[in-house]
Amino acid sequence: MSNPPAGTLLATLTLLAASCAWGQAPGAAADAAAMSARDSAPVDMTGYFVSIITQDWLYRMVVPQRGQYAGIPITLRARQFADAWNRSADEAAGKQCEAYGAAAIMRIPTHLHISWQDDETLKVQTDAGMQVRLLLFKPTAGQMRAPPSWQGISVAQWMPYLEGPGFVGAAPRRGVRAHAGWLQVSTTDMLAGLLRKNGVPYSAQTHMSENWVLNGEQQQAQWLTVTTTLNDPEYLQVPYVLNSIFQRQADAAQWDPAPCSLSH
Amino acid sequence: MRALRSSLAAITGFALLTFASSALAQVDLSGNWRPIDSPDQLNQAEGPAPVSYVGIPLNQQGRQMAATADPSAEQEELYRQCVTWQVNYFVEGPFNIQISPVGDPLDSNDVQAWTLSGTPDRQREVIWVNGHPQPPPTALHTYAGFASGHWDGDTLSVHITHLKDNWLLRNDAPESNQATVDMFLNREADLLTMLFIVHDPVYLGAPYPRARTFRLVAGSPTYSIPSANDCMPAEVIEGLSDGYHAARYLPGKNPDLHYMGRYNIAPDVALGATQEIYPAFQKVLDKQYTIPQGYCQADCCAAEGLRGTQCPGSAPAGEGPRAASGPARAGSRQKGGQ
Repeated sequence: MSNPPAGTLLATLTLLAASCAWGQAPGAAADAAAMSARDSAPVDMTGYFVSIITQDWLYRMVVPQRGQYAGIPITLRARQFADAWNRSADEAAGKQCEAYGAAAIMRIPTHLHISWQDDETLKVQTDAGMQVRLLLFKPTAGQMRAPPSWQGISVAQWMPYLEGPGFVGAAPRRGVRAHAGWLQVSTTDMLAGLLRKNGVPYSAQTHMSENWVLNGEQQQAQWLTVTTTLNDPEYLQVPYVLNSIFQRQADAAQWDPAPCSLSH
Repeated sequence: MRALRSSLAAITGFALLTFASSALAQVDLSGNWRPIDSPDQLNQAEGPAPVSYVGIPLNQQGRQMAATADPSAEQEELYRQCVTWQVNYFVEGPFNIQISPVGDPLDSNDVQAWTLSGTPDRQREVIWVNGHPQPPPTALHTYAGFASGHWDGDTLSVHITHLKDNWLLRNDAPESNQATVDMFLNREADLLTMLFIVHDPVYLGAPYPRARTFRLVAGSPTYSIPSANDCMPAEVIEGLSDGYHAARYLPGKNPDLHYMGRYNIAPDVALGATQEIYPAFQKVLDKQYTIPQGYCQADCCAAEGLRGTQCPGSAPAGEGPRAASGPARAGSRQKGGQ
């Protein structure tokens, strides 16, 4: 019995290992680029979620007192704005949804319904305030020229996990792994709004970046954590970082649409 | 023979490549992580208000424990002088976290465990990621518990068991020794987000999730890591009792039951409940809550030490905040220097 040529064996094994361990990432990335956002999603974020209010309960579940600004790195100008803010005037002006803009909506106690509007757009609806966020994976020129709005323009990209045993030999697959990747969202072009319903403002110059991460193996125990970083040159001294926690729900049974309100 | 040696070398090379890729699959969590977000700011400075358990899904037994707690008298319970917080308190305290890998003695690249340490008021948490067998249910419970982890993509998923009786917050929100904790660590560049979910069949009616984000900073935490010799629970503190009294009020006798009235929060709501953590509870609040009148007088601004969050300037004439701190809190206890 003759031994195989050592050089050939070495080269073959090395090539095999390289293709499994490292070669897959660029290939998978290329495949992902060719696929739609829906098909290349490394996680399945669609479905219903409920916000879990275990943090900042006093500022989220109830409208805090005037002057209660704890935890927010506001500027002097922001404080002056909040101190002078007039709830009644804004309610009379029909501006109730100023507290439900993109920079604040994930902190509002709400249910989320996440679905694909089309292959390149993830739609996030809230029952609180009945808002709709569109996360654009391939925004068109027309979409990018849209006028400022409460929810602004959100550009999204998947951050798939392409390295490691879990994906050896396979491109990222939708719904296969619980959290082998996450969603990164960048939002601009928001109308100026409120971070808190006691008048703490954010300006139209705010840039918001978010990481949406899904944790938990089982559907009934899946947690969506949205880590938000707000940069506002006018009203924030430093970036304001906060987390919002959601738990997946089985269905729409708890969905309860309600209009925007500045009073509760 | 020469060919065989070459083949072995090739196989060795293949194995190295494969195992190396496995090791590389672990995200590097090591470093000194500083908390940068500020949820529940009050919890980190003076400590949460007494009888302020809003947002904690306490069940009836948990509410009863909370309603009779007297955190200000904790030093009367000698054993608590040596109690450290358990792992989920990482998202509550003000301290940095030092995360370090524990390598195989024969191959330092093969990470066997991760440790979370660097805080003076918690035991070193060892998260085994090498399939370390779970201890039996009768094994010793500790303040760190037993933590096993595995990587799901770039998330370190951890399950912690074998914990001792402890507290969720400094105001003595209870946590039993039957509690387990799920922990998820997600790193993105120099940010690390930790999500803790406490499950406690004794005191909680629903899972209790808390999250926090940390930034990687240079250096190491300057706090000493507690050891078994750091605490000598032998001294009865002068001026207190004999050291063996329970820090408890009789039911209905807690003088702080109405403390949250300053926020127009009713005592029954202040005790926490499962339904309070869900949006639907706002409908209950709508029937009883009114926005407090006037200008915020206490705990209105971020704590000192968190850069840029001091309230600048002055308030409108006649109604501005008078002082940075409010009335003394019965619930602000100092554990391990915190």
